[in-house]
Amino acid sequence: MTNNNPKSIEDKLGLLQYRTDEGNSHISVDQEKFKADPIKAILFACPAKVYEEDEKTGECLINYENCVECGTCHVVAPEYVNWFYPEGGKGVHYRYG
Amino acid sequence: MDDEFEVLIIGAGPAGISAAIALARAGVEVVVLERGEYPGAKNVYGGIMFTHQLLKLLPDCLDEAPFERKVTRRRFGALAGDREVALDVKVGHWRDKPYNHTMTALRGRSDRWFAEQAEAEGAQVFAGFMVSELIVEDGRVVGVKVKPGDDEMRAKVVISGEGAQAFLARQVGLMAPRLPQRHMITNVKEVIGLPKEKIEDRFLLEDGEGVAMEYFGEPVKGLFGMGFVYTNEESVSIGLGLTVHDLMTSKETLNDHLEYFKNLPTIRKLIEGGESLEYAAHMIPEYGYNHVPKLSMPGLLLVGDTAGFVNGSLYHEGTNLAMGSGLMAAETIIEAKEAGHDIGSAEALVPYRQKLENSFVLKDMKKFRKAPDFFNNKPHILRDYPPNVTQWIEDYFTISETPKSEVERNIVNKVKKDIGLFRLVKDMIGVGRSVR
Repeated sequence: MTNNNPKSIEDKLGLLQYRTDEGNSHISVDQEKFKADPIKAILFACPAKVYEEDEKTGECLINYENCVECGTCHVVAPEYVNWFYPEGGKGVHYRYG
Repeated sequence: MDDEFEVLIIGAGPAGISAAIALARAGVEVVVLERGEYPGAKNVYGGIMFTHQLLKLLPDCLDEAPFERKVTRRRFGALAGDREVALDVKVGHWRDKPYNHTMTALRGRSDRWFAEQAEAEGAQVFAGFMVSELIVEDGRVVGVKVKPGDDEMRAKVVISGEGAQAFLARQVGLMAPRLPQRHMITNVKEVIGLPKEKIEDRFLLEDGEGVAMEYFGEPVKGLFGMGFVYTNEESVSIGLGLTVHDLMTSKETLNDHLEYFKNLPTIRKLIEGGESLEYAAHMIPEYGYNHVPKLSMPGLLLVGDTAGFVNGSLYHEGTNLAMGSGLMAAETIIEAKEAGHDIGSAEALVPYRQKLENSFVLKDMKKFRKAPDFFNNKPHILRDYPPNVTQWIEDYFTISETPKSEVERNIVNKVKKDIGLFRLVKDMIGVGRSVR
């Protein structure tokens, strides 16, 4: 496969345009409840790899700038994911949709 | 209040813009707030624009609308391993206007065009403004809070076409606070660029014709969901979706599922040599008729995906239900205004639900009302039938010196072993009932 055909999620997110709201995350996670969740399904259920587990602290790292705004995370874990839209004009910017 | 609008619409998708066009044309003052940088910048779907409601609004638009291809071929395939068994429907005269009311479209272009039509009718469309909250006073929605800026905007009626997340509908209690994991489907999609001639050769299409292919079984490993391939003018949209519940069960990422689907021997050649242009993800609210939210309260109407107006079944219609609901929301308000009523009052908004019940929107959803729960409660149907049925059919068509009568006996024995005759009959009746 050539570069025209990315397979990894990182490369696919690289195809997207974003208007990142620098320093202003539209997502927050209740870290204690995240740590207590044995399944942590948001780590794989998010289609844009926004959530990663910090190996040392066990905390949830939030790459909010990757977010493609589908909303899956807060359906998966409404108990501890607080997800809302970015401010108007910010966030992912689809050209095809 | 002197800065109060008559109608404020949240979201410049097919539902909101349909309402805006109808209202503006009837002389109602209407403003649309869209959180994307332009209408379409946040809007994602599989790929089919069903146009019968659009043509009610803009009867001559099919020549100028920036759509992709006229769908003359629909295919429903069961995949298992390297096998495919499909129902392939091709109708030549679907290439004639109005193209069976089925066209592929890319929303970045088409929603932008659609919003321009609303502006031409006199609606004001403001992009780049996100509604963060509804303002409720004495049990009536009287306006919205907008970001950036924390400004307030007031209106006699708010129409929420916010989309699948339905934050605002949940805020005011028209829906349960949490979205249901078994009825919310997360879809991922890639748009893959290919030359026009290659698409038409590969998919057996005449100039400008398109195909919609949908796949059950292997693409989603027997879970509740499906894969799809839709042809655009110079690209192919390929993707798949799973209920959040089954996505969580699968323990795999949707990108891994998508790569698996793209590389199946039956699929690979369709997109070979293409260039990935965009990756996207979006949710579809397949609540079904039995779980549709409350559709209005004083000062507020819900339209489109916000209200779960999706015909799951085999049709996979959404855009037409969205546009139809937008039209009926507008009609409700226009009729109340003409009768001299307060257009946001509870009484004025009551006919909205009845209009939907009398139309294809809720009639079709009612017909298929048992399907979402049926397939959720009987996961073995989507898991066991695609591999087994395609195997029986493979056996039937396998050429060897085994006498055909023996081949048939062997298949019947396999059916008994794989599923069981009693269960087969029971499942068929169940499937039949779920769509009747």
